[in-house]
Amino acid sequence: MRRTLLLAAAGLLVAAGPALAQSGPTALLAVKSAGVIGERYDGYLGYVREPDSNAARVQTEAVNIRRRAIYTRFAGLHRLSPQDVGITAGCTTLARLEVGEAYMLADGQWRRREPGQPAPVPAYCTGG
Amino acid sequence: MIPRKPLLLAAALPAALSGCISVKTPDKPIEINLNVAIRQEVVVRMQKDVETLINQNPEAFPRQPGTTTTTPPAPRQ
Repeated sequence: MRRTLLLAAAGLLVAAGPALAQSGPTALLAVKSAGVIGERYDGYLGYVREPDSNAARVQTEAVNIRRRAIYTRFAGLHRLSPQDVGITAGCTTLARLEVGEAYMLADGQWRRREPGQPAPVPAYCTGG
Repeated sequence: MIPRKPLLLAAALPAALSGCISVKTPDKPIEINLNVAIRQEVVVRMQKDVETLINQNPEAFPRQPGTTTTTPPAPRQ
């Protein structure tokens, strides 16, 4: 019985994969532009507050898992730590913030990108 | 018979040296922020490659359709 349930769950996940990829991470993008989730300096998405939709949370977690895998693989190829790769990626994700999107720097505070303001990038990103 | 003079000289040597070299322990611990230095070096060196990595994995770095794909200027070496 348990085995059947597990198989069914696995089947659902496999079926959900391509479906999600086709429809795109819409729930995630909606909460991202609303500033509910945001980009962190360490290269991962974080929660400013709990998203109302479960889909948004699932997609956020999926993105972070993908990112961790990407950082870890790159770190292995270049003999770096995954943390440093994440921080390096954070420089790009922070620089790409849209107006209204939330971001967290190393102080742990969430802020929003204000209109007309340049994207906030930590000093170590610019080499200065 | 052991000659006495070299022995005496050997005994006098540390005393003479102590007069030349003075080692003083610093009052404050020496602070080296190694983490930041390494991080900055890694960031500057790897930024372009990591940006390419991000561009090649849009499913892990989803963006609103219609947003520009170019990023603000990368750090200069």
